[in-house]
Amino acid sequence: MSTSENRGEYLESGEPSGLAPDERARLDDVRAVLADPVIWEVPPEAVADWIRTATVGSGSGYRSRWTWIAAALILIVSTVSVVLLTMDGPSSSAVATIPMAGTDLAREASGSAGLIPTPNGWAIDFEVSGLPPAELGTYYQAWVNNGVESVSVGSFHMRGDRPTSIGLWSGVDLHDYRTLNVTLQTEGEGELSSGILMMTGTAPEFDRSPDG
Amino acid sequence: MARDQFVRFSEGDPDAAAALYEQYGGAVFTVALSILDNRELAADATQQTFVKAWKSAGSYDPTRPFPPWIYSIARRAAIDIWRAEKHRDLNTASEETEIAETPPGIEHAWQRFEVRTALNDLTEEEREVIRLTHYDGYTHSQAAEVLGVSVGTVKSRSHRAHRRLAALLAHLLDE
Repeated sequence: MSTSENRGEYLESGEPSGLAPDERARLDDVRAVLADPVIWEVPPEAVADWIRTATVGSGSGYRSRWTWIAAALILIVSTVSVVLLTMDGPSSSAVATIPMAGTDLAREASGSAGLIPTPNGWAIDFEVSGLPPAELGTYYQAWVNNGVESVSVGSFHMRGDRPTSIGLWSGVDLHDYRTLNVTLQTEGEGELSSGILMMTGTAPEFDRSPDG
Repeated sequence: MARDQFVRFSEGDPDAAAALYEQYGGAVFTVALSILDNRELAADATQQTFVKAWKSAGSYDPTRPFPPWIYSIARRAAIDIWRAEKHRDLNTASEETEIAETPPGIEHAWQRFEVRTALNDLTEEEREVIRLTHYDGYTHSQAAEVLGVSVGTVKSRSHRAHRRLAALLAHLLDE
């Protein structure tokens, strides 16, 4: 078997180094991958922010006694903006909760939405149960509302492994948009609300602290 | 990623989950992009992968290799999105069509995942010289000029980087 030295040399230069043809072929595949732009793409920073929020918000397994410490540690090892956030105090846990109930169209549905402020917007950790899977060609859309207008915060379909938590995201201040609605939408019928209301809930007013 | 990190992840430690994303987020994104060929959809798939992994952390056996586990979740997430997009584009409801078709980029996804994971195990300097020479197509002299170091330094880094990469990918190359 060739050593890493021989293989490394071939990977670097493509020059034969006493390697068997099939081994050179496999190394040529790796060389082609190294030249492929897909390998060098990085995911958007927003993905990391959302995942950090989702893992802290749901707290699967590690329970609440140490959750705020874990939240601060995750933020510290992340971006500069996140470090600044931790310097302002713990703020990656929910500052308010919206109790959610099903309408006549989804009587068995219930849940709650934790509202979590972040530097780039509000993460909404939507725990839901009893909402049936959206049929193919349809999906659920979540909206926050301030009594005047509705703003979309994400869509989902519930056809997977029956998640207990849906991650939503708001670019508007949830101190003002305290009502969360879930409508049933049909694919291809545009981005406006269908008006088919499946679930709704409103949070009581909550403090406008520096972190929330 | 240290072994105890996998154990803590399986126990639901958010800190370990964050470290896991730091280590494998790029590789998962590579899988998603290979299959979906769309950055926005690949970002969605990456997000879904880590949330699903997090939700399933209790079912992960830390004595078993982690990369194949996270890869299978990523692959599934990307395929699901690909099929949903295809269904929307074609406006068909054929269950047989959905089951039979797989994305064209899937055959290369595992190899790309492995290479990306191995690249992540290199130092920043080693990764940089590999990118400059393979992806950007620079010679050692050109890479030295870009990096602001001597040609000898580039050659040394390149030699070390490729040898380490070959060692990290030995399981792929031994097939």
